[in-house]
Amino acid sequence: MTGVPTQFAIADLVLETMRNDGEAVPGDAELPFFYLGAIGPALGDFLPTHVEDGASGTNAPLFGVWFPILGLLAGTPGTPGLAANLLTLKDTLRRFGDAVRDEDKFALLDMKTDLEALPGVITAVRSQLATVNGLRTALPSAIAGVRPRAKVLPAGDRHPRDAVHGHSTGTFWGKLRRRAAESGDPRLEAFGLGASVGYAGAVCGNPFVNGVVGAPHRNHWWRHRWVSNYIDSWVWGYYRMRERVREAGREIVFTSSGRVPVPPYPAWDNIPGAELQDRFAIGGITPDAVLNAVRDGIPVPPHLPDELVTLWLDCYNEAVGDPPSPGVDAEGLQGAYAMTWLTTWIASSAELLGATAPDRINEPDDCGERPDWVTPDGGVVVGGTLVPPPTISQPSPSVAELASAIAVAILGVMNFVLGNAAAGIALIVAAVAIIDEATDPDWDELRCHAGWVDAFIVQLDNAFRELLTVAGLGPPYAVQLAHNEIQFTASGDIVPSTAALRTCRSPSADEGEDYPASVWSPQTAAESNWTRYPTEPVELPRQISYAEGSWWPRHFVDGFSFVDNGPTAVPRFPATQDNPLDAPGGMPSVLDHDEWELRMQRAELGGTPQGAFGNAVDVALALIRAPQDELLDWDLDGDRGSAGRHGCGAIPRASPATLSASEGGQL
Amino acid sequence: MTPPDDERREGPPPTYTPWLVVRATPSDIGSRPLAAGTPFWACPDLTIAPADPWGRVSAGDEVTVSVTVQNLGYAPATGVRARFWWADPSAGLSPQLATVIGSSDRVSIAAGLAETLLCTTPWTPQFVNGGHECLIAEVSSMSDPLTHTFRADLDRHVGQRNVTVLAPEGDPQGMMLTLTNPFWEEAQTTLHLRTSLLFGVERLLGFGLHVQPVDALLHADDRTLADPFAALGLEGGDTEPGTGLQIGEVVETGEGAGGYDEETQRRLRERRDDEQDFGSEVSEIFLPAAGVAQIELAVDLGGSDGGAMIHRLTQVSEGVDIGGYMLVSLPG
Repeated sequence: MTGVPTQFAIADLVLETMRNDGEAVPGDAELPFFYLGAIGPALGDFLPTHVEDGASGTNAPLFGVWFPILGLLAGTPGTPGLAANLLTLKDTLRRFGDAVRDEDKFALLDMKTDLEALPGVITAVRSQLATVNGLRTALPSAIAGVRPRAKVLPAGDRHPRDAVHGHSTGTFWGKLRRRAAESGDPRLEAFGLGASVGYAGAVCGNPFVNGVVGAPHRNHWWRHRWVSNYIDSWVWGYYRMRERVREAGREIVFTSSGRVPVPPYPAWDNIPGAELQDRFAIGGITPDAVLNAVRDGIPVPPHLPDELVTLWLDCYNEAVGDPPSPGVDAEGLQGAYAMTWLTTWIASSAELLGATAPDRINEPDDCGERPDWVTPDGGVVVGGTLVPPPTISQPSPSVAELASAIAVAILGVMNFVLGNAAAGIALIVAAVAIIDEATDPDWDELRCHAGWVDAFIVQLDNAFRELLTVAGLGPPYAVQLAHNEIQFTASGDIVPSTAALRTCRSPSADEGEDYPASVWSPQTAAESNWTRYPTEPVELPRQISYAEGSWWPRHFVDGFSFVDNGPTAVPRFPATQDNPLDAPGGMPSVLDHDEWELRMQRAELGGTPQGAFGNAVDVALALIRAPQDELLDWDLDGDRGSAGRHGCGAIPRASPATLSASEGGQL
Repeated sequence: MTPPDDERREGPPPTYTPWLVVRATPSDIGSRPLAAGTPFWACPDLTIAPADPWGRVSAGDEVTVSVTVQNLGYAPATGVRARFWWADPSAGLSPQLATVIGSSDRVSIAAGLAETLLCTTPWTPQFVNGGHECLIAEVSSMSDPLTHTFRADLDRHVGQRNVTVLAPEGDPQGMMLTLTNPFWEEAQTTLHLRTSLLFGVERLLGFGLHVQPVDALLHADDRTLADPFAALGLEGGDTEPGTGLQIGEVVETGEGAGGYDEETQRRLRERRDDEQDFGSEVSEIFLPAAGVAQIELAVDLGGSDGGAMIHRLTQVSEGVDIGGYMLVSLPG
């Protein structure tokens, strides 16, 4: 599924086009509702969430995956969680750094108590990290629980996430935007406008994601999530960078046979630090409000206005909810919003886990090659005990790593880095302890201590982010999309194995007849090694995932590519729209009922209905500008199920009247 | 789609650490110690700019030295810095025989990626001994430190480049090559020679290889070059070892090389058991502990029969290849 960053990038392009064309767009007060609508069916990932039920009950399986992590961050009543401890640690170190930079002795004296408390905070963080190891066993079973259920009627037996992606999608999203437009409430109108973007992003983007994954969400649901995070980083970085380079009269072009962008990935914008949660912050939502609810095991305070909740639930229940989906009620929707917002905060805010990319970690200048407390071989002395650095063994850059092994290794490094920070903080506390009105500190020494500790804390942040990325719960930094061109040109190896060449570029030109991989079973599906392209036997009938070509994600976003034709060329960067809106006879095919029927018939006969809808931006604009009473029931997962076929766009969801459960039982 | 083979292979659980590599050969991914006979003194990642397409620089002109380092580990490498030295042509370099050029700024390198570290101090090569000087670069990071200084065969953090590319025209060029005993006891030291002839080398220019054209000549046997060589139609020819190369007498200088620490000597001796044909023995001397000798070489210019002559000289002490030197004579 296309994630929040991708959906927002599409939304920004839609807004820009509408503004340029003089069309009315939501005002500042309504923009959070527009972006919430643009999240689209991805809101279903956490639907429903009743925090007080924990990982059990009717809660969304994805909440079950996140729940132990959120519990770690939230703590328990009376005991600060990891989030509070990290924020305390960083805030104190920030103030300490400011005081050292300003050589403000009295500020240091004022914060002596806070500094003396830091070793205790470090101890707490270390003990909390020790519990993370247990997540290695908890996460896989939770991830297995996210496995989609059979696409058989009634839809209320499915996960609501799968229902909003694959059951009466046009009916639901069409009702929602029509009623929003007729409501007279500018918040709901903005939400409905955004919902068109959300629908378009999913219907155009998910077939692309499927291709990179090697299968639709149904077959490899967690690889889908993992790959989507990489595509999110690509899309976010590309379009933010494109906006900036255009101001200088340039474009992003791809060199080395289309492999290497210029400007390169390390220069692209990152999702960490983008603060995307601010874009759809509604009702005064804060991290504390949500984490405190997790900590206390109580419902999340409502943040969405009642009018929006009523609109959403009415449309859902009319389109999907017969029988009603358990737990999909006002509280369940409020919880889904809160969790979507909180996980976006974790992924995109600099507040908790920083936003310093791995190639931007600065060690302090003029402070030697290593801190005083680190031995020449990299060990660190903590509390009188020498802790050796993690053993370095030779990696094989061509071997796809196992997520579990990487997670263990990252945890080891987190402990080591934290040990480094602890040792530095102990020296800082000792150095500050001897300061009084008559005794000045050694400012150079303190500056070096502060600089080294900061560098270690940044490494701790990055290890956390890496852990989330490996687990499929967070996006990588843009630099992590880059590949090693030396290795590629020398051996053809893609290093690292998670680079964009493997995680963001459509392999449809090479997939032959091996799509979709892995025969799906609702009961016995093998656990997916989500970092690897699946190699299991193909699920029949064979299909193609996406329009043939080695496309980058821009193909499904707005479809434009640019060529650097030399500094004297006019125009300098000619654009080609490789994926224009598909509108034979003037009617966008995404809205064309005849096209829907045609594909439906072909699906029933086992044919391959070719033809894409076009790019998401143009499709979203087509939906907005030519409103219909109802949208068509395309499968927003781009999944034809185990019967029938589909082409390069999304496919029609089979209705029980035209396709029996035995023929299309997983549709 | 059939996944590439590399996706099918399983490996040991990875460690989340950096793995810095300055390549000794084009296909090097950092395994150390290198197998006996590996020409680790022709590092393709050490470069000088400006230079001509064959990597030749003009004596007396200021140049910038750089080293490209890859981080093939799974974790970022923070605070990576490079230091650079130059030395007279030598088959067994040690820090005592080298002069510091300078160092690079510190950088962090994300997992899997490469960075080129520039020496912040320019260097002016001197025309001595009929050729260019040797270069050494060492990279290090707190989380992946250097282990064996000046030993590219033992440590992936070290790059060494001993090579002279001769002009295509003119008189035979003479030079003095230094041999050193790295051990703390007397060592039988021999010099070995392998010569190869390669036709069509001019096609390497502008082809866009992953290494510089001159490095393609020096590492012509590397597996990553087989396909490009075939595509370009480069062919080897038959030649006698030492064709166009005159080798003088080896003479002890009485100077001291400094030697290496005990651990480095132990690691070097471990390679004594590796069977390897280093080529024809062309000289022999018994050098005292950490002793130094020199030998005069002269090379005919213009290649041979329209092809490039590549002479690889390898110093072997107590059965261990200590270092080497390359001489490339280009066709006119």
